[in-house]
Amino acid sequence: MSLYLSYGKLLIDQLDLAITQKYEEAERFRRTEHLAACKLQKWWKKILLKLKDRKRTRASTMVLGFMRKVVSTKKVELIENHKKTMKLRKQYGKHVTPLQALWRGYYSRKTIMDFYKRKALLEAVVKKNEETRSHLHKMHNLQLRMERWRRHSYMANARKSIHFLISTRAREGIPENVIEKTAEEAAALKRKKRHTVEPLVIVQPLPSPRRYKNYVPPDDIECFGPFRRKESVIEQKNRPLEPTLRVSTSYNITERERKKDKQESWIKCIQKPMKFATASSKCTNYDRTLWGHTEYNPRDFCNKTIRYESQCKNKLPFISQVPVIPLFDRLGKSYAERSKLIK
Amino acid sequence: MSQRQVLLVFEQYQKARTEFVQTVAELSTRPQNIETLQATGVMQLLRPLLLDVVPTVQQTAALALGRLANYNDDLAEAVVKSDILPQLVYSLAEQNRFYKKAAAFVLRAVAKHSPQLAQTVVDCGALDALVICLEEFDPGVKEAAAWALGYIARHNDELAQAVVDAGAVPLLVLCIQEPELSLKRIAASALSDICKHSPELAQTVVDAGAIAHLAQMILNPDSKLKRQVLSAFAQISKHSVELAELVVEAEIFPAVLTCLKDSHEVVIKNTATLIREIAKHTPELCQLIMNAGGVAAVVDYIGDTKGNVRLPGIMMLGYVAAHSETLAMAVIVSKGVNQLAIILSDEQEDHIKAATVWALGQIGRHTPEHAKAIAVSNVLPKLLQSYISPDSSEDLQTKSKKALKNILQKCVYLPALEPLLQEAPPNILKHVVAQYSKVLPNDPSARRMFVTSGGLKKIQEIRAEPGSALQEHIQEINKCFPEEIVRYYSPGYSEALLQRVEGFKPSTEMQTS
Repeated sequence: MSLYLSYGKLLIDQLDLAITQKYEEAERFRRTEHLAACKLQKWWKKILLKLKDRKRTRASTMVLGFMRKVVSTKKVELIENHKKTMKLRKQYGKHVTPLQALWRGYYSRKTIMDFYKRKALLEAVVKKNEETRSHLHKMHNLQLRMERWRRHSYMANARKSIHFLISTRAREGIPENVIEKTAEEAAALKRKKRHTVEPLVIVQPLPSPRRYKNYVPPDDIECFGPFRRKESVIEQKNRPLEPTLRVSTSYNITERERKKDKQESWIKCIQKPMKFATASSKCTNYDRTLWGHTEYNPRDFCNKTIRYESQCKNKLPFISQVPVIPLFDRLGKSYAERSKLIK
Repeated sequence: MSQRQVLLVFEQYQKARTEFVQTVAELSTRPQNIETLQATGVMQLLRPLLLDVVPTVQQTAALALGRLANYNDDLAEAVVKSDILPQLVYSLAEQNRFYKKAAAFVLRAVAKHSPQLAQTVVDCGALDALVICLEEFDPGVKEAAAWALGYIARHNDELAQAVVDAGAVPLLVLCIQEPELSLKRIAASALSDICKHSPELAQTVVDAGAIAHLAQMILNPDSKLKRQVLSAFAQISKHSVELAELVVEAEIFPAVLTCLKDSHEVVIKNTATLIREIAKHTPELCQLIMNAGGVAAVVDYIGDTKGNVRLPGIMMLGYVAAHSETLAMAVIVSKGVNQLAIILSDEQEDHIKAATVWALGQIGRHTPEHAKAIAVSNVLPKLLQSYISPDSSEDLQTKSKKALKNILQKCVYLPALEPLLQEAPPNILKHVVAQYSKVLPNDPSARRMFVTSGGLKKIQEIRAEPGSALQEHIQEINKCFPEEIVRYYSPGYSEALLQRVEGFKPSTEMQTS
């Protein structure tokens, strides 16, 4: 049995081998055929493609040729036109170029840079500069003159004001001093004046201050305004001059005056505003007591007659300046009523 | 003891205190006494007198303290350390006008020395008290308060901002309108000190309506007032175009030009500064100044003055010329170049020369016409001298080099370039040679002149690196002349000729015949 089995297996194996070999052979054959078929197809497709390409190539060549023809004719036309244009330009250029140059110059001067305007501007600047220089020169001279005049007037005033401190003699241009001259001085002055040249125009000389020594204004002249009494005027005129550098007020004058003011304020002040503990000490608003009708209210801003009239007209009952007391309100009482009761 | 005797003692004490404080105040006016007073501890003695019962003693003590603090910053620090400031600030609100003036004087004397001391004054709450003083009736108090505020605002923008935040500006503008001259001066000075730090602060002052009031005072005869007003305007207009236009809209031109003829130098300088600050912004503003005749006025002013006073005017001309060629031509036509040339030769100070050189560069850099105007004034050799001289500062040398370069690049006026050919260093020489290379190919008469003046010879003597721009320009110039002439002027040609003569052998035919 086992022999048969082994023999059967052997046969099977051999069969398998043969089948496998046949399959491989068939596979090889198939492959060969396939490759041959592929080759043939490839060859045929190539031919087909070539045929197609030939057609397409011919078509494209035709189209390209046509387009090239068109383009080249255009080109040729352009070149010929350009040549014609250049020829014409050359022919007419010498006439047109100046016109164009004229226009371009005008346009650039108008829009980009106007040289004539610039020239006019610079001429105007030069003119304005000259005007400015002359004006400034005049102003400078005027300033110098003003400076000189100010200095001169300052010196003249200074001379006048210190004249009585430094000299008892009369100086030219300065008013004659009130100190009486001795007889000899007066004679010497007269002799001096005799030698001077008299002016052509005779002007009435001003009376000397000595003539006004005992001058009294006449009674019939009415003086209007706040004039002093005649006697006090005469007294002042005749008062001898006592020039001194000593200051008439003392060093402590301000303190003394302040003390005095303070003392007098206690006297003058009749009624002080009453201060209560509830009231704030600082920044109390001033309450005008114009309509408070008591004897002690200050009335700074109306005269006596109006006060009297207003008192008669608007005589209101006593109005207290003290703050309201709630207890009184509750009881319906007032100071006025109380005072009446007491009386 | 009777009442009278008791009162006598107190009177004597009061008299002694008064005498002491008045003497100290008098002594502190002289600088030689200050150190002695400081050594004796005068601060500690004066401090309690500030709280004295007698107002005169208080005021004189404050005055003495102010004079001491005014002297130097050590004493001012001593005032601060002695805790005097809070008392003064409190008293500013309470006391009478004499004390207020003295207290404001002390605050000013302390604040003026340094920003730190000014900050201390601000920290004590002095600003509010000072601003309240500006509302006082007495002009002396207002003046003292405005002065103190100005000294505080002067240091930096933070302090100036603090002054503005305290509400001082509208009150200062009101102070300007007061009739007292000294108050106007101080208020204008304070506004100027506020404006100078930043555009925002300047705008605040402008918004308060200061410009119109300041403009009215330009023609005031008082020089000190004018100088403060002009300074304020300059500080406002320097920040931006808008502010400068606002100042110009106040119609200060041409009235402000009369201030250039003032007798005081500071007024003239401030006027020029104002015009400079306006001109530097835009060409339109420069045009406005030019139309008002400002350029001529400035040219005259820089000719009449000397030293630092003329510096703003020189800068103004430079700014005007920098904007456009028309404005530069206007400066030339107003004889600005001649004046600047005179300044360049007369001035000794380097910073003024540097400004002059810069201004000339701005004028000449635009077109050949401008460069010719500069060259004709014989300025180029002076510029070169400023550049070469070892005594010149670095700034002057830099500016001279730039100006030379800018002018030479436009200059085609050959007679002015000849001197530079002889003396210029290589970095300047290349520009000179470049200009020659531009002009000579087109101008036969210039070529002749170039040969006869020795320029061609000089060109051949220049040793330039091969391939450099200078070498190229030299070659271009050489192409303009025949080869023989170039060879004739080349260095060593005579030697070469003589060597040829020596080496020459006459021919034998000549010998036999």
